[in-house]
Amino acid sequence: MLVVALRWLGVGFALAASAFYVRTLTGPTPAAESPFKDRLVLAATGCMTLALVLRAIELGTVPLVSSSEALFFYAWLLLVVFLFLVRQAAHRTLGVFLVPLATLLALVSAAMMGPPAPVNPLFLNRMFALHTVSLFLGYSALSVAFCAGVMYLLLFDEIAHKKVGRMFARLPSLDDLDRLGHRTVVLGFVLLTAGIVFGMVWARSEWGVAWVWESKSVWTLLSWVVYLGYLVTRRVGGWQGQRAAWLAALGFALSIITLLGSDALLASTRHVF
Amino acid sequence: MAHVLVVGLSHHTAPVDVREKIALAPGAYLEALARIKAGPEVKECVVLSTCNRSELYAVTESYHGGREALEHALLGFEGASGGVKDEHLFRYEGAAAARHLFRVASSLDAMVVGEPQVLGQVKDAFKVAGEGQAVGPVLDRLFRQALEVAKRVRTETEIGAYAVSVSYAAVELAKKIFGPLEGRAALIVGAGETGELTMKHLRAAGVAELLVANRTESSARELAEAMGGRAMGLPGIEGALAKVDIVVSQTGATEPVILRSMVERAMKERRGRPLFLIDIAVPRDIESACGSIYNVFLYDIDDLGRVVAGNRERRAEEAEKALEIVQAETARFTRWFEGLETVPTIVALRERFDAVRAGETERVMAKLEHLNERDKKLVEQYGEALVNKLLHGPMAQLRQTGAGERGVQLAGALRILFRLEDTAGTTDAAPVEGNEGEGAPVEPGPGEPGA
Repeated sequence: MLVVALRWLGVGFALAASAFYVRTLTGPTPAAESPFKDRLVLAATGCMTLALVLRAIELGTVPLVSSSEALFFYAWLLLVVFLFLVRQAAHRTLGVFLVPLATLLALVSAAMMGPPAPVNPLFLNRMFALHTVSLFLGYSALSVAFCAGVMYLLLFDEIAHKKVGRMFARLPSLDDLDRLGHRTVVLGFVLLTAGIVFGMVWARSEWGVAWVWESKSVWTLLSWVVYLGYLVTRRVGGWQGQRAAWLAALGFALSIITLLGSDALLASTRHVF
Repeated sequence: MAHVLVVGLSHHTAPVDVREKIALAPGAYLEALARIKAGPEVKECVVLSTCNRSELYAVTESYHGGREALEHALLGFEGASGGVKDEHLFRYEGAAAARHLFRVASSLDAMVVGEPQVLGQVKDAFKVAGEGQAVGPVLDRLFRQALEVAKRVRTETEIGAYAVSVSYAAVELAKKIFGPLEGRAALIVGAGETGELTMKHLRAAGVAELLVANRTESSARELAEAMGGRAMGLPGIEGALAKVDIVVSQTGATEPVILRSMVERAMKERRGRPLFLIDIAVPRDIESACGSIYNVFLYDIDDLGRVVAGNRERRAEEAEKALEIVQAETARFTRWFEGLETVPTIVALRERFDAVRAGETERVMAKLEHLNERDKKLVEQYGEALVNKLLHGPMAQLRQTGAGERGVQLAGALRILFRLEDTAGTTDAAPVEGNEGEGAPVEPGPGEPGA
């Protein structure tokens, strides 16, 4: 009960923070920056952290045993990552995109909350924790890359079309955004790879096969290939900037499909979420 | 009654050949202040003189006398004789004077609206006047508030956020593409004036390495020496394109100097690293097709001009918001200043009544020697109560009306009806010992004793 209340409270704070962040982009003057919205993010993260810790103690494993919980964990990670990134002035405006994204995920998760179901004994395995946590850490890094990519494209659009205005006055430089995107894709790719490998090791020990061809694994593989492409084209073909931003967006779209939609397209049997 | 006045001339009212005659260096402020303050009219004074304006702010005894004294002082500035005509001067009084200073300090009256230098000049003028003992309570309040207004305008509007010159706009763009420019390299082709200015701004923004290319080696060397760069001839451009991040071109050539094929080859070598090409020349130096190469940003003079025009518009929009702030702050100052008029009236009225009461009480007491102490006390208290009751209504009304035009009118009426201007004379005539037990007459009790 307490866990549920904390989750909703966290969502509430996150919603308020999102409203403030979006306003910095659409509102009249970015000059009058208030630290208030950062405190709201902090409050949201605090509530969500407590909810996660309590739930983890209750379960005896990472609190990721249903779609709803996985999404909630994901949203929480995004806020934590943001709190680390926001210390650098160049990344302050990232909140305009990242905080609402985290809030949206937390909201979807809260809406999906079901009655407590018996926990699959399979999830008490250490490999489950490694598999899911590295994947979600990876997704959070890739989400940052996505947000940086969107910001890059918005600013690029103004500069390339010689119509400097709203974004020009508010966003960090193209170079900052491109480098942030690159760094987070590298990090995200490593974690994604690790998550997949852990999953394969775990699958082998449980079922005797390393790779199960089902919807979830296929979509994961697809997004992995896109991010691999991001890194290769950047290194070999000089695809930094605009094209990289588009690839980061594509990879992120595939990740979201993996997370939310793949079951709807083709049911998975082994992946509960 | 005191007046806040400003007399001066600015780029709105006088051409530069008139302004330069009257401009004062900050070093000459003190002497000018001393001269102005020496006269009987001016109680407080601040001199502000820049290349765009020369203004005297003052608090004076009377409007006309003050105005004349200031005009005289302004025309007495070295070299002003001849050339400066009456039509070059503007004069504002009261709220208009306050509004003028607030507009000046927040750069709304500037030649290029939003450029911040004038704030420092206002600060200096205020500081020097303070050192010269020329600032009293009114100008102190006015100038402190002006600095506050400027700060509010800067933080609450985006008036200074947009570059309004071609060279600054180019630097702003470079910063938006590359982030901080420290450690970046730039190439300047040709030796046009705007190009050089742009390069100076880029240098100031941190650009570390500078290459200078020119058709004639000697001019390249000259410019390179002046700016601390490395000189080369035009054939060196293609090699340089692969290395530098920013190119500024302004040659007098009639054919493009930087071709698409050159940039394409350079971009291959750059492995996609962005390149910012700034073409200030007319006719253009850089083939416009370069702009469609991946990660090449090309701005020609018209593009930059459009950016600047857009920024000017944005500044004008922001200036509208800033004027609202100035308007509100002017009202605040006026309220305060008019409060200066009503408060002394309240005090003077109270003093007048108390003096009359004390005098009458003493007179009647002399005839009531037979009363015992308790009865004497009663008579005294009767007088006090009468004064308090009679004053309570008008005092409350005056306080409630407070500052503002109506408050000033009421105060003026009271001054006339009770002849408050010559308070000092009457209080001397009637001794006021009776007051002492009751506390200072300045602070009438919150209510009547009887209530």
